[in-house]
Amino acid sequence: MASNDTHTTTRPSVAIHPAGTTASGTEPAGAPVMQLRDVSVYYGSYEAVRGTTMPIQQNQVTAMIGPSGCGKSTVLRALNRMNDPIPGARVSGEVSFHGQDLYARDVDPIQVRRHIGMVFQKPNPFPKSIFDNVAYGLRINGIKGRLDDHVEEALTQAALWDEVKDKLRKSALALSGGQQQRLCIARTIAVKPEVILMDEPCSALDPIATAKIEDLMVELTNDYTIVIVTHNMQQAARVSHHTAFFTAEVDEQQVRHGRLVEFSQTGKLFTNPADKRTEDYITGRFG
Amino acid sequence: MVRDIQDEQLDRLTGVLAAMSREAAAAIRGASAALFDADRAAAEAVVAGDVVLDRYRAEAEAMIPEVLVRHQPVASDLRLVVCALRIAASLERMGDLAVHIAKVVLMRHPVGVVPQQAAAVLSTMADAAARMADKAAVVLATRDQVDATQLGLDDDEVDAAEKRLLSLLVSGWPYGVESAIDLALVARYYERYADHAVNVARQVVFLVTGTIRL
Repeated sequence: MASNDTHTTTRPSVAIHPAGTTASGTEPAGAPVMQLRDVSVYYGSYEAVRGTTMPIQQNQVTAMIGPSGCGKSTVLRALNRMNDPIPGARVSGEVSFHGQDLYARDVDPIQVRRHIGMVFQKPNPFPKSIFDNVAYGLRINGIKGRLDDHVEEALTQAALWDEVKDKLRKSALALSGGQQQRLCIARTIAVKPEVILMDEPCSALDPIATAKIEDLMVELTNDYTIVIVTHNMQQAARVSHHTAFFTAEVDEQQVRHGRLVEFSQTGKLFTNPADKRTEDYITGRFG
Repeated sequence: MVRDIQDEQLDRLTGVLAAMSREAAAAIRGASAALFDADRAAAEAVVAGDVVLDRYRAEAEAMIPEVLVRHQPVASDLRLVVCALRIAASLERMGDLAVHIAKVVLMRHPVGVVPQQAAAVLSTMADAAARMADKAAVVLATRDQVDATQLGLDDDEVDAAEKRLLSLLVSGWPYGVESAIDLALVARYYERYADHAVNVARQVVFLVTGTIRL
């Protein structure tokens, strides 16, 4: 990819932890870029997700599936501290990124989200021009170099450039849903994160737009690590390398908690799941 | 609801395979009876009956793409569909091999194919093959791995019997080359039949465990 050089030089070193050491590039190939260890997420005293342990492998797509209320989006949001603004939200256990605990006291959540970006279910472009949407993060992060080049690179990587290059100053809101979602991906990758979290990025899109986003996910794994939450099991089967299946379980006190049931290579999980709860869910034998 | 439709289609597929396994067992019994009794009518019945297995196989093969398209089965459902393709092919082939035996009988009729010296060893093969077909049918229904593994032992018996027969044929066989060729072929048909029965059982093990035993 032509942008590779720029990419490495402009991606900031991993310095979310002021006192921390940079572990980037020292891991063996295929090593996890993130690791969850016994992660529970609480909203006040309610334990929404209990004891999640799983890796996020570098330059791969990791899918999280499961019924509504199983905690998969909660876990996704815990990966870049998006639950922080929710009053009473709290994480126990460890979420590490290149070996650094993301919830350590001196870690800046803004910097975390700079390295671990997020794309949401509903395309949410700013009510600004296409150009300004992509340039926004670059400007506030004070990224140096020619803004035009960075914007073009991000839009190209998001497979949107050819469709918008002649109308960069037009409102982003005039784009189709699928284009808006790719614009949001461009906005996310413009600041060169390492990990992109996607929360049901295709659920509002038609099959053609969905296919484009899926192609993009596969393409983006050359440079990024992707974690996707999806209700579409075929989508998880199509694009992901590993799949985590979550479910909601009722404990002795009749309280529901989300739980990770099984984490496997995607092919294995969909042909020969280890856990009966996974089998029942993916084959449609619910409840 | 939709899940019920899928279950119904998978049940129908399983039903077709069960019917095929019974037909394949009946075919080899018919062929063996024709062989040992030089029974023309029995041999003709086996040849004529093979179309039933062919039809079942075609039915299974038509159902499978439809299940794939409509339901995108995964996990054990997917393994069932994949196995069903292979199992249907094996059972249909078992029917063909029974037909081959019946055709040898028809070709030599009214002369018998099995002289006294070969009767014991061939009937060992015939019994084992029929037993294996029955077991394959049971394994298909029960999906019992222990029974499935058992089929391998029966197969060893068939292989050993084939070797014994071939050594009879090459050491001063008194009934001529034509008879030796007939018997070598018949033995090979039984041996292949038994292998396909083993394959059916192996597929069932894969269906249950998700792993292929080599």
